[in-house]
Amino acid sequence: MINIEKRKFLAELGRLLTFMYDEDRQTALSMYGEMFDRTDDPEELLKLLVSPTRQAVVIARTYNAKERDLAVRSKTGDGDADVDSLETPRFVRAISEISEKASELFPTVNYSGAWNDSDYTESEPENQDAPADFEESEPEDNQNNRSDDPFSFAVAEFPVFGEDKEEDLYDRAADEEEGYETFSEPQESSETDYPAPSYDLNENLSDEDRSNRINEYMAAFADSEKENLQNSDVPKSVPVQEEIRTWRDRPVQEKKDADTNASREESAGEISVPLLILYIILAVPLTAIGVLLLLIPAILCLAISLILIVIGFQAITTAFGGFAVFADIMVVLGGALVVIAVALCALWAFIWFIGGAIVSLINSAIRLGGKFCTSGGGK
Amino acid sequence: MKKSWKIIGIVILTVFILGLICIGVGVLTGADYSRIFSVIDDKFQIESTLSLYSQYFDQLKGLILEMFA
Repeated sequence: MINIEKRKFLAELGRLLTFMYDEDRQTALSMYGEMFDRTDDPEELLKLLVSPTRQAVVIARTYNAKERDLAVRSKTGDGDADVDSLETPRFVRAISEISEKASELFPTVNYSGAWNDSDYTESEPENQDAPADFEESEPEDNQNNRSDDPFSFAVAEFPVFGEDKEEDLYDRAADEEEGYETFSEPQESSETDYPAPSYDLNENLSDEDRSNRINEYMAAFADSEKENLQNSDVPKSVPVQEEIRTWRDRPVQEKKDADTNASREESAGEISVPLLILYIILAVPLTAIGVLLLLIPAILCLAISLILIVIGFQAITTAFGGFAVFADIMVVLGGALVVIAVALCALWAFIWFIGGAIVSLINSAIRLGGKFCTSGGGK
Repeated sequence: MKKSWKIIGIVILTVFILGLICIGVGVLTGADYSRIFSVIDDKFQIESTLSLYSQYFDQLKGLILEMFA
């Protein structure tokens, strides 16, 4: 059950985080994956997280692609990254804050804040409440060297990488079980820019109250850079319950097999070649006759319009050249304008015959042929 | 497409109404139809052209009747 919910959540979140660099996306997904791995109550965790969309919004608001681009370029130069030059990305801090809040909201789950150096104690790995896989995956050498290792707190929280060597803390190691690359960086300061929750953790909260307080807390993550959200692919805000219902109802993406592609083709309808040939033999001459029949009035309209246009313009020139009396000029001019109006009507009719009637006839014949020639069309 | 038809229709209607207005003004100001027709006839030889065409169609009609008689 946990795995299914986790897979759905991470799959949906991965789809929404396409605006990030691959390594950053994998980092975010691995952090959320670890939240699921450590919790005993995935339902409560999901209530805290609300939905992948909500988390994607949080990440989008704290993710600056330009800054990350510089960071990625500086790190890919050579394998040995300078410790002092590393800076925890804001989105990592945001996710770690959520992880801390999850640990505070669900005291049964034992994981401390990943980035708080001062809270770290040497006895932590021996804590009986820690999940079994947490202990099993932690290398022994790191346990022994932890007190002397300035970055050992990161190892304690992300035990899947960094086996024996200190420099492994900054190397990305593959998570063989989950298939995600994990990534850790030491946080310089335990203080963040994000506000702490204002409620008492021991207070008994109803689901609605808890949901409202979580929403308030999430709103506090809002960054002044609204462009990140506007430019991201993350969809706009959706009611909380609708969000949960929407992504949880979506089935887990399984591998596509050949049969689904084949069934898709079948549903479109196969074209029957004999029917197609028969239709062509019958429909083409009939359509040609129809087109010719429509061409006759079309050409007639064109001829009438051209003649009337010539008469109209001749009348206008005559009105101003051949008459001296104002009344006669006005009558002839008026007559000329009426003739030109009728000519325009005839021209309009010609265009309709050519561009409307004939084209519609041909399109209808093609559409009818398509329906007739598919496998179900003959019935 | 519908918009263009609408614009063309408005143009045609405007020209037609303008023509009717001009005819109305001419009639009200005392136009003489026989004078107008004589001027047009002098210029375009309408009567002679019409008589020639009527003779042509009469001959054509006679020939067709003789063929089927």
